[in-house]
Amino acid sequence: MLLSVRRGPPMAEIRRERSRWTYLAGGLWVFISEAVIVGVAIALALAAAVLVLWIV
Amino acid sequence: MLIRPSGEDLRIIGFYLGRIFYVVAAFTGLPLLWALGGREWAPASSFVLTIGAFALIAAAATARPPREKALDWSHGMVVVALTWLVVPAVGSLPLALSGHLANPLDAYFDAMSGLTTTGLSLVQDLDHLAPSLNFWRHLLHFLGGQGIIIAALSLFAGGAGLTLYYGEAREERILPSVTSTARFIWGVSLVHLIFGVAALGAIAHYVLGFSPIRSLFHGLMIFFAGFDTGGFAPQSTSVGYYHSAVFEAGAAVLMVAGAMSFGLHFALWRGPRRADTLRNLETRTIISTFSFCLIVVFIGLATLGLYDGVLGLTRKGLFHVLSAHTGTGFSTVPSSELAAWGGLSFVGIALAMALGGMASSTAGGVKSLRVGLTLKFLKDQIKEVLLPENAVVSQAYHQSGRKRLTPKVSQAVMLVSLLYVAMFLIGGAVGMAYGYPLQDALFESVSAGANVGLSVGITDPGMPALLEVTYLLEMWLGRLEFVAVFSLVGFLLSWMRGR
Repeated sequence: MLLSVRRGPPMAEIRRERSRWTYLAGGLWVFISEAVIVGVAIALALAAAVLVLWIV
Repeated sequence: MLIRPSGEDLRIIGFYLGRIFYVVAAFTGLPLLWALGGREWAPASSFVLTIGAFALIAAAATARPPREKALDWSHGMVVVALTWLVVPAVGSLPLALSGHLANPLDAYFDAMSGLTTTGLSLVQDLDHLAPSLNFWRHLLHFLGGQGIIIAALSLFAGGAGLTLYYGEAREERILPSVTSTARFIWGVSLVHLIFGVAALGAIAHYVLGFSPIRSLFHGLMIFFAGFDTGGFAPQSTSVGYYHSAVFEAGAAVLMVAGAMSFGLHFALWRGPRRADTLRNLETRTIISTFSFCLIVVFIGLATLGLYDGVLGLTRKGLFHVLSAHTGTGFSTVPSSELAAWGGLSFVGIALAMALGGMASSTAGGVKSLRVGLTLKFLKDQIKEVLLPENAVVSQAYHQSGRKRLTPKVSQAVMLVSLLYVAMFLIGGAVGMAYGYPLQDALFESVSAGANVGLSVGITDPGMPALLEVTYLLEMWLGRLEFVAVFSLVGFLLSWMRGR
């Protein structure tokens, strides 16, 4: 509330786009994206741990 | 001069409180059904009592409806603050009657911790708590993480929606109307529930060898606590109970999902401008702060020599930084082991907890957008000092489009950030007054105020009552981001001293 209020796109735009996706397919895509984010984080963390252990 | 609220003001507040309590009473029917299905008669009767109490309060509050149902800003704030105070009080009844909590204050603490998605718990012998009661604790996470008001707004709205929506610390109206935004948030959550429970249940069944029913139960509980960045778990050893890196990775996906703003969910969902989200100030800030905290924790743990090898260090360090930064509070080590994370590892975890997830997510803490805007403001100030007097410093930032960092926004952001810091310090001071070391007292205070739930062992059934109340208030203030609570205090002062 104390941040600038961010408004979403107009309803007409949402209606136009709604036909292109369904909630479930869109949700699966988002879920897979989050799994990829965690996968990338694990890979980068492994690399960082190797570096830290090597230095320390 | 303070103006005393009129009877009409009270009737408006009561009317909306009552409608929200009816919705919560309906949700309480779910653990009742669970208890009846599992033939858990004692918990079932306590849920009947709780539903009755919610319905009775709702009926009393709506007994004299107001003439005008328009809800102004102050009414909305008072409704939100009272909702978050009364719902855990009534919702603690089944816990208080279970015999697993030492006294009603402990039960209230647990219910408040559940609703504010903190995850600190005072339940004794958690491993033998009835499944329906465990379900209720985790359902409180779900209700609180989504927002009780969001739940109510999905069912009713009218002109009341906007002020209630913002009062519950949601900054972003994703869709044109508050009702459609509330329904979108529930849509996102329900879709994640389907995929999250399926993934965790499959891991529990095929990797851990749990029976199908037990897999479903653990999948559901960890989903509620992970996606809503709560931190309760059905077992006293939290996620450490599963001894599985694959299960931890599954829980991590849900923690990340919970700490992402619903606006970012919407952007990923819509598709056309996905790459644009990487340019957002909030996204860049959370990636930077997360990386920084992770490196600090790695260096701290490597120096302490607590975990041998790259895999041990990565698994423990990454999971706990992720748990702290997303405000979840899952742990894979006992409290006593976490207390031994001194030096830089303590700094990294405490900082991650304080910073928190994204704004308009289920996470707590200062929030990444505020951190990003504060850093941007500081950078602009330094630039103005260093550049020639007539140079113009751009005060724009990218957040779902180009925005201008106005002095009003800067002040609001800094004020809330400072209030969080003050709250963490006051909580830490109370802990120190009871003889706890500075590091432990500060850790627990940040954990409570940022709604995280990681513990170094201070939160236990034998803790001093005043410290318990301090953490309770921190959880409440932290979840509502101060404004609604301050509005309630102002309202009460006007009532007592106004003319």
